Amino acid sequence: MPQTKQPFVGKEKRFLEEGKYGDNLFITSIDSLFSWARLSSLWPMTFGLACCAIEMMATAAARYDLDRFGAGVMRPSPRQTDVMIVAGTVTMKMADRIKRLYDQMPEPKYVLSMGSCATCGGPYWKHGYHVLKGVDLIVPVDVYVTGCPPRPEALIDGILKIQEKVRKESLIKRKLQERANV
Amino acid sequence: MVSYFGNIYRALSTIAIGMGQTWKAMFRPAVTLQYPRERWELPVNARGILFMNADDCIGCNKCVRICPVDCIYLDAVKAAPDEDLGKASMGNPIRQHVIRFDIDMFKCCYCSDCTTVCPTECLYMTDEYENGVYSRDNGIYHFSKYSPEEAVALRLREKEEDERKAREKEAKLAAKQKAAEGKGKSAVGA
Repeated sequence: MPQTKQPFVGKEKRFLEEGKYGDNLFITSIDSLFSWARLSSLWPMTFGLACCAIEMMATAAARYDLDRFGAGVMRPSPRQTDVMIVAGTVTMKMADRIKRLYDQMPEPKYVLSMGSCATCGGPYWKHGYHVLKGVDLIVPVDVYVTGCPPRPEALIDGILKIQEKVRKESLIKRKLQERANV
Repeated sequence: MVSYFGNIYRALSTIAIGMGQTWKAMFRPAVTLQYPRERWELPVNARGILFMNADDCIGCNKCVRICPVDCIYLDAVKAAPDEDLGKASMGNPIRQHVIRFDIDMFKCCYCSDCTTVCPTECLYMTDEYENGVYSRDNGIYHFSKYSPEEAVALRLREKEEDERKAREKEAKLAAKQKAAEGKGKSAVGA
């Protein structure tokens, strides 16, 4: 006789049932605080793969100053980052590295696909035997930025779009959802 | 002993030089562009997102053929003989319905070749550059002025027209053959 698992008892169950009747004051205010904190410090992982990386450097430099949005702390390590800016041509050889580094990033994580090459292969989409036709084939992409390469303003615009996405998200709800699905 | 005081002097003087630089930088005007509020004035020939003026397109297919990355998708249907589609603003007569004109801005490499070959100059680059999108499909722009239903209807009409022409041609051929056979028979009979 297999034992049926009762996931929610006592406190947890009451907490969940509270959530059933819409957002309450506690959850929304804590949520907005968390979202605000997260969106004001989106640390990007530098993924400079090709010429788009030059524009990414220009974006981080004094003229455009990505740090005004709290996103200027370029980290070489995936474990310290929130958003991965895939800037450039993704070759087949690089693809599994990208996947591995993406898996090493802590949740919640976001991916920004910058430029033509990262989004769909760019000029190589037809005859490039060595190019991955879009980074969204291996990792889920949140925001795509067009351009070949995009202007630094366009990249900032993409970062702002990710911030909008973070603002709308609710971490607590997601946590509860995960628990309910166990 | 001399080197001891020399070191102290060097340390102090270099610090003074460095702090002088910092002091100067403090009074220099900032170079940072406050992007979402202000932006650079772009040059006249700046290359941004492509735009097509659907009223002027004659469906000549030149932009599709010159595009080095094949990011323009164009389908055109011939107008009926009694149909007048008017003229483009440059005076070129329009003889085709352009039922599909899609540009995939993600594949585009902004070379501006298509705008130079366009005979009616209906395809041009705007100075828009910020179009971050949440979905890949939102990067594909549809410029045709025909709705999908109209496009399907036009396609069907073209197909019927082609079939009718093929039937007529066949009938003509058959009649010719028959005539030739009749001639041959009569010749044999005589």
